[in-house]
Amino acid sequence: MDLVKRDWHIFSVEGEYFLFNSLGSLYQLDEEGAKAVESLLKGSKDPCIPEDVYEEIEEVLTPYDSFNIQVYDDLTLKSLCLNVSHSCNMVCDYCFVSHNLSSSRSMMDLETAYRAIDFLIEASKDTKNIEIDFFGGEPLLNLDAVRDVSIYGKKRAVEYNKNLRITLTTNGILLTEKVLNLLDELEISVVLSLDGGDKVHNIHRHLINGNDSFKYILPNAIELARRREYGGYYIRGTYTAKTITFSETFKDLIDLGFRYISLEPVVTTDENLSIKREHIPILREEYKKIAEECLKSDVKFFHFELPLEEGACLPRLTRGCGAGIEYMAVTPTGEIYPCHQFVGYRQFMMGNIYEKNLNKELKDRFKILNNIDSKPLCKDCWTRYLCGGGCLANNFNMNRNITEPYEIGCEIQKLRIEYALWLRAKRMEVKV
Amino acid sequence: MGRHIKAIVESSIDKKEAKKNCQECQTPCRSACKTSMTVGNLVCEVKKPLGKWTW
Repeated sequence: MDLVKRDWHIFSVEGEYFLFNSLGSLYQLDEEGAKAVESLLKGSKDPCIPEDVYEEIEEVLTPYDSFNIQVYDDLTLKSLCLNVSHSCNMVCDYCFVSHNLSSSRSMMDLETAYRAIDFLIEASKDTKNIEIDFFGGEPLLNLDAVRDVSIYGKKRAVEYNKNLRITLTTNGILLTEKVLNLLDELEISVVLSLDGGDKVHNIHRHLINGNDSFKYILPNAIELARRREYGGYYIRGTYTAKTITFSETFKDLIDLGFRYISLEPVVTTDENLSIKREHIPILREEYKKIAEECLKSDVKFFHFELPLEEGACLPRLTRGCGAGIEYMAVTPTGEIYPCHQFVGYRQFMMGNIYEKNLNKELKDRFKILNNIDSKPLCKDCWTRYLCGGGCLANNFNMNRNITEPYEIGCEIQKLRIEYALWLRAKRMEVKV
Repeated sequence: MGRHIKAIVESSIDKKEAKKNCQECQTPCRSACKTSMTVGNLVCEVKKPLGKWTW
């Protein structure tokens, strides 16, 4: 039996063996079965393993030839990140936006915002589902724009028979009851930045005057979660080298009443905060603890939600994030960048919302990078249809080169996926 | 169920609908990550329409 090596990955958790196939299949093996599959992946059977083990494996695993997926060139823009405010009422140690907050105009005016909506409607062509994301700075500092642009966008979407989903990423300081009412009314999903309980959160996230911010955010976050018991929000925290035991953070957030949680590694060159190779064993243990915690509860940890059956089709999984093609970011002055993390780096400015022609050379460059098979280090990696080749902005932020993978990010992605798959297997056991 | 291998999730090229490419699913980084890219978290809008919320 020939197995396409790049499509299979064997891993073990707590003495149990699992086999994942890049097309989305997941199997559990015993030790002998794992050794047999390993030998098959090396190209020959192990004479020490009884033939009946191989026979059983061959019955279960469906062989297939290596396949090629058609590369689609007709991708359209379908999502815009609107940086409606480049001002912020907080100063966080790891903020990737801080370098561009000195922009000449910090608030997006309505004319620019409406043009951005029109640009999205037109560029999305026949695509029905389109998205906007209010980002910043702190977008709630420009609440009028959030309200008016949402109303305008929904109206235009109806006119063009499109379905517009809206997300807002906020630090939560201004998330008052009045604002929450508005976000509920306009059906705006919310990502609220909260790094954990008070001690962890206050390490990196400060008010502009340097004071702790947790006590101002927590009541708002709790009210958001109370209103959205069945979805429509994520609490999103960043962990750093200083807050590396983030499974405790995860438990703290659950204890505070949150059910939709995402904790992400910081991406920074700051030596004091950055995640380094020596942290990987710690991270493995932390993700394991989070997976165990998820097994005990109905809490959704964003990166463990891998919809293997209901996930995207293969042509989609062979593409990356779509930055610069399907997804772009617009600044308060109308400048267009491939994504929110590239904002402010002039070499990546693709154009302006007032001039419809985008930089073709830049667009073509991102189009090539959006294809997973264009990346030598990715095309033979077992995670390629789950990570999509990683984040180009992370590559740039860490290596100053969008084509050079951020290796620690890859390592984190791999171990995170292993625990997501383990959790999936364990949840199936619980169901039985 | 075998003694040495047990299927937990079974997929295939056919099940992944290799020829589909409707482009109606979300863009992955407009999600709760914002700093890392994860197409694996995407839900197919054809198989499971998401409704009014992003998640």
